[in-house]
Amino acid sequence: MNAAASKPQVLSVQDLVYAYRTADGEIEAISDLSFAVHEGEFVSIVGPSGSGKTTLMKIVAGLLQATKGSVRILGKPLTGRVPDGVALVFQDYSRSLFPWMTVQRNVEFPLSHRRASRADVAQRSRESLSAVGLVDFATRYPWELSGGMQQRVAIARALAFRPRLLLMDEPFASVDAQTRADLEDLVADVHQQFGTTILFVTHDIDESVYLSDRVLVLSAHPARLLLDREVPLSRPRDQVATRELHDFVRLRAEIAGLILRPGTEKTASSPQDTSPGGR
Amino acid sequence: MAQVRTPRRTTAKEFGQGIARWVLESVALIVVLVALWQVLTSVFHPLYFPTPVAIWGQIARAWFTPLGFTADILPSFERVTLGWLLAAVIGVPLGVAVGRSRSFAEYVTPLVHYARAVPPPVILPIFMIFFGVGNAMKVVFIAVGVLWPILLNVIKGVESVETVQLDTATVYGIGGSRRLLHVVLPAAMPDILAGLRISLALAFVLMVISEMIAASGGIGYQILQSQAQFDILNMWAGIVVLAVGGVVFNAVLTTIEGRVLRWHRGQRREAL
Amino acid sequence: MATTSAGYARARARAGFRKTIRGVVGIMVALAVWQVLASIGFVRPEWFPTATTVLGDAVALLGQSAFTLQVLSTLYDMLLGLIISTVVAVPLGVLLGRFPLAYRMSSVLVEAMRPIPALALTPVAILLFGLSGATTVSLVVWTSTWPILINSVYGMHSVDPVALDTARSFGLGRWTALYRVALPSAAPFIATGIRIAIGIALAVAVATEMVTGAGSGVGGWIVQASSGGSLIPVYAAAVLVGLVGYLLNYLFERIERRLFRWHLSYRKEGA
Repeated sequence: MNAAASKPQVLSVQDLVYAYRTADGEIEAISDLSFAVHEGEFVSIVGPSGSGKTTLMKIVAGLLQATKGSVRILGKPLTGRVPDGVALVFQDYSRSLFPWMTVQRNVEFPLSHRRASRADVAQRSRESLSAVGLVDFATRYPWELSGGMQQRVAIARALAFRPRLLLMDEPFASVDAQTRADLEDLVADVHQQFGTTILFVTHDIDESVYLSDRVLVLSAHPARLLLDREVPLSRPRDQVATRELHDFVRLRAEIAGLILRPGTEKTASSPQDTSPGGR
Repeated sequence: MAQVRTPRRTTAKEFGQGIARWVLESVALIVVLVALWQVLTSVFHPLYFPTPVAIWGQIARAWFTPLGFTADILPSFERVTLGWLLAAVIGVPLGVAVGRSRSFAEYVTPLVHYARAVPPPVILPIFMIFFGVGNAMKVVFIAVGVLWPILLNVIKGVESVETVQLDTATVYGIGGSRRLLHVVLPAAMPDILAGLRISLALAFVLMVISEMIAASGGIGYQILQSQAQFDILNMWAGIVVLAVGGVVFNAVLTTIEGRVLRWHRGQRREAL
Repeated sequence: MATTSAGYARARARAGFRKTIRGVVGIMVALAVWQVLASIGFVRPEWFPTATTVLGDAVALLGQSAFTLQVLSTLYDMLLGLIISTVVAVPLGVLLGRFPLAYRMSSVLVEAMRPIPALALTPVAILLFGLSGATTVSLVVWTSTWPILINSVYGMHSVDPVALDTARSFGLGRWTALYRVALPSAAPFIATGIRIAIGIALAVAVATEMVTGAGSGVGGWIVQASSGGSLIPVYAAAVLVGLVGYLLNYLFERIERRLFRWHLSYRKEGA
């Protein structure tokens, strides 16, 4: 797993600062954040709600501009434009899918303006729909599907794009527990199968440890890096067995200690932050 | 958790029963009311209310003739259609342009609200001076009158496109005309079509008023003339022709709306 | 936390202020363009007067009871019509919304009646009510009833059944539940219907007055004023009546927003 560090960097974030202005003056949401993601890695970012995780994702995706610092994707600095080869799966699946397009059209939409042949586009959408188990629903509309299935469509859309970096912003925060476990395993499979580099944001400590090769823990107000730790668990992982392993339990406890009983950090404590058992 | 909520496909037999029930339930009421009207009017002979049968006779005799068509029916519906289409052709692109820019919308929206608040009949005399009393005046008058509700609805629709949808398009590198055509316009379509439907009703009102105030032909003119000459039967015939026209125009628009917005209704039903 | 939410409130207030300023600037620019175009003089000034002439005339009109009384008369007829159609259409819509059979039986009839243009019925109204305000009122009622009725039914259809069941489980009777739970949740939709009705009612009222003859209401006043050859009074009246319509709409929207803050469509930003 340490081999990942020797692979090329897909994303590198250096001394990133993001501040926004209110009537009371500047408020820093992200403070001096630095980290890197290497090719093929699955990195989770975990932190309490309101810790600027979504802001970070939007900056990496090119939707927001950083106040200071540099963000490089495949060595190229972001220049205020949307970077090539980055896909983003939003938490809000019901709004990020286009309700006037069928499932297949949704998946093909990002592809159809690239110079891909029609056959190639169809092939790619079929491949990614089958990866998420939705080939049979290609002609349906998103609103005919359950929440978990809608999020799978969003994942299929991202996969068909064949991103060099797949960003996922709390993708499973609004589905029920069973669906969530299914989707976690789906994403883990997809990561293994396609070798996609994934940066995954969550406020759920269990999920971050269960899914990733490396976990970054952020503080709240402003977001600072509290911990950057390899996950010492082999793959494939299992929803029951993995979560019983000593390494899993220990790492989870360590992160929970950082987030729930912060030493000097002040954190907000809304109900959903007091996770691990909260799922 | 339910996997998929599949709308069950109906069989031909169920479909037939559905139609039969629909006819029985809804058309029955209309038939009963018209029959009641027929009975009451033929028994009491009220001065101002001819029987439906007599009205139908008058329509067939005086309106559904080559002259009736070319002199009154066609011109009226042509004015409504042209005026409304003209407003739509100007209003939809203009509204999209305004709605895409938040600051531009902030400069323009109160002005449009004001223009919309001026009742079009008030400015009818101005149009009569500038464009005379002919066909062009009525078309322009209708177009100007219904432009504002269309514009307001288009602006509102474009402004309320979900940020997540726009962000999604941005992340996948979809910009410019593709984004406008495939994301902004479909998302705004429910509001755009609602604006077009509301303005169609207004267009009919404006057509009738322009024909009643300044015309020598058209359904509105005929209705008012008949009333002035106490030709009650012909007046009612005109009203019925106009009403049927309104219903037909509305039905066409509603059908188009239903087709285009199938996704919207489905989505809304699931959300409720 | 408290400081930031106060900061948000202030930021929002500032955005609202900027919006107002921009709106005023927009109207000013339009007036300036009007002024310049009219001053060039390629159209006769009595046909296309300058903005300042019209605004001056409008201010003068405000002092003339001959005009203001007609405006009040039109407003009175229009509001009376709106009230009557609300009183008729809301209960009817609530009933149709509650009873599926009644809804199915009447929906085709409603769809057939709704598009009949109010003005087509003017002669019938004249025959029944004469050349009086009652004619205007009756046509406003015809116009306003449909949007209010349809939106009431729609509002009743979107009442959450869970809310009704909850009310019943607390021991509320059928009619009490209807009154206390269903009606409030349908209220925002009913308000939308009334707002649509206001939008077209003033136009119908003025149009009716123009047809029924000189002297009565704004419509009658316009017919008389425009017969003089100069369009300046028509422009001035349009500016003033537009202002009245604008304020009416603004007022209603404010009330709507205040009353239905809890309703989804008004808390889009909060979601």
